[in-house]
Amino acid sequence: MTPAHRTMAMRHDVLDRQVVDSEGRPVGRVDDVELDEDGAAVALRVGMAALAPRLGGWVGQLLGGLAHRLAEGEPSPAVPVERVTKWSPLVHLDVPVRELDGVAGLEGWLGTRVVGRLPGGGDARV
Amino acid sequence: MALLAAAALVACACLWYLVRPPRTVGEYRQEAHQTLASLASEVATARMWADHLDRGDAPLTTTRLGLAEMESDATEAVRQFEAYQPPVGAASVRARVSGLGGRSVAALAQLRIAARSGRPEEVVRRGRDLRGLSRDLEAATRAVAP
Amino acid sequence: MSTSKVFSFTLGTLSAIGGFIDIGDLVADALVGARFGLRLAWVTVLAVIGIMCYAEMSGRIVAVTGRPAFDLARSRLGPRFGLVALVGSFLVTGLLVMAELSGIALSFQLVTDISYLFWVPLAAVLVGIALWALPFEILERLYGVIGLAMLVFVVAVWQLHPDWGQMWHSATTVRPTAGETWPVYAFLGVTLIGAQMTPYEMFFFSSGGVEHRWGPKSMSEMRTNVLVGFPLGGLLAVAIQAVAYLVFAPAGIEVEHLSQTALPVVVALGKVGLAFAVVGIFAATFGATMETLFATGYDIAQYFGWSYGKVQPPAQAARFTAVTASLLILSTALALTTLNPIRVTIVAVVFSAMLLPLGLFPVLLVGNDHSVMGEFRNGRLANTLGTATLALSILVALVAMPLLVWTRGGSG
Repeated sequence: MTPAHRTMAMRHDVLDRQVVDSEGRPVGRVDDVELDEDGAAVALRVGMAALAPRLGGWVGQLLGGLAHRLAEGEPSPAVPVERVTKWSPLVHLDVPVRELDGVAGLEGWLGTRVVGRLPGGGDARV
Repeated sequence: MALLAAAALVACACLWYLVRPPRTVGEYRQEAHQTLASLASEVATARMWADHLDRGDAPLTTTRLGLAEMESDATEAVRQFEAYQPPVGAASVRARVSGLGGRSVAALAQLRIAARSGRPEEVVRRGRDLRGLSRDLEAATRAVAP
Repeated sequence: MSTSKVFSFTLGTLSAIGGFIDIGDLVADALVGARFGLRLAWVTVLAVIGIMCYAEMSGRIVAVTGRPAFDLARSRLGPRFGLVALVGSFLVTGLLVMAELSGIALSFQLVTDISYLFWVPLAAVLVGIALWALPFEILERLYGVIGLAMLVFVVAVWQLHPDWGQMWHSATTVRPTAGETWPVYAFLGVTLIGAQMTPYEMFFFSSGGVEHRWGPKSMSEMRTNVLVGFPLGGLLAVAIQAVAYLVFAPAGIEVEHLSQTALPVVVALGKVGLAFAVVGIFAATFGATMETLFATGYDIAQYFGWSYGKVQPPAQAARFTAVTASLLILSTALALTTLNPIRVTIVAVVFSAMLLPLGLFPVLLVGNDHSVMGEFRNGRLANTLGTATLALSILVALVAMPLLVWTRGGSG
């Protein structure tokens, strides 16, 4: 993908695509794309906080508020576009999800603190 | 916002329609017809359970359950119908449904009591005795049809 | 045929028995059979054709892309459409989980005469343990095989020695029986569509395919499942209608309870028949509880792009596991409110019918997408049937609510 392609058109194209990590595990969806002043994509945003403004209306406000509370005020996590190895049909990353700081935080928390602690729950970080 | 309010209004109207009591004689007869039809259905089901208990087709536990369910349905149907205010000129309809309803509930209760006390012979005997009641219910159902 | 092939078959039978025949069918079919005989059997035929068409389409999408159809739908239709479909299907499927769970409890009640309310928590624990501890394959094979006990309804039809000419006459008559009205006839038709063409069957079928890692080579296996499974489900549904017709219609009996669904089998085959029927009802509702729970979990996980499913340990699909577990607890609580599970079932299937187009449309859209499907995109047959089914579902969705109110839930 050439820099020229990382434009508004691409933003429209990759939005809502499934993101998978280097091990094929689902990370989330491209809920928003961060662009620089030239309209080139810098990072993908994944998570409810990024999705909520796109939904709009009171539903968006509700979900946005919820996401804000859960994230304890930290900005929504972003994945730099340099991590992307393939764009279609799924967005593939070259790192495993655990090395992406803040991405899928709830998943990690539930996995290590709740589900992973139950007998037979397995290990969250494999 | 106006659209939302309109939708809420329609929903309320629908809910009201679903639970509204009968006001005219015609509607009241319709309710009476339905109450008698469900009583007839409940008595017929109870007879079927008792009959198949007799033939050894149905185990007593399942028969017990089937009979108890029919009794509670019949009680509920009669209670609901009797709670309606009869319109002027419908007193005879109410008396007829009430009478048959009372008979049905009492008979079904007897069946349930016999079944729960472990007296299958009595269940079978009382089940056979319900034939007359079934016939009366069917006749009345036809008679009050609006 | 090798053993593994025989086993892979059971995904289809499970989807058929747990999905096609669930609590909704057990109630709606018996109710329809008692009131209208086989005069609505044509609706079941349409529903079987429709669900086969869409199950094949969504299975094909999985085989080609490795992703279920709903997964691709969000990037096609945007997050808003997806959210509306998600919330709608969550509410309906949530009600259905409660109904199916009560169905398991009612099957225990049938043999013990102890209130189903006592059995509901037990059933929930049973479902929870089975889902937690058993692998996907074992679960589906187990309940696929046990569910075959439902065939007792087909045997019962023969055992009742029906007048086949009269049955055929009833099946080919498209109008209400004497004393019944057209709106009630139409309403019960809508109920059958809602009970038999449920989007969750499709979601489960295709998401199950993802767990089985279907590829283009699995196409024939998937098609066999569709071709065997859903018609088998349809056959069972018509058999339930037929036995209810034969036993209840002459006696003027209206069906209000699950015990009445089992009664014709008692009449035809006695205690042995009842035992088979109870086992079948248990397997069907247990399978359906599992399917509805998972379908809802899949739905939510796919919308947000979470990891999901049973292939990996639960901790690696923690949000999926948490959502499914919460839904199970919520439905248990709902079932314990003593809301009549049979009424809830009827309402749930009518709402399900209303939301059907939202579930079908994305599948048709993706199935037709050349850039995604390549040479495996819909052929003329799939498109004709798919469009006709979608049109029918839109019609059904539009009339469902007015009919529910007009007929006062089928009683007027």
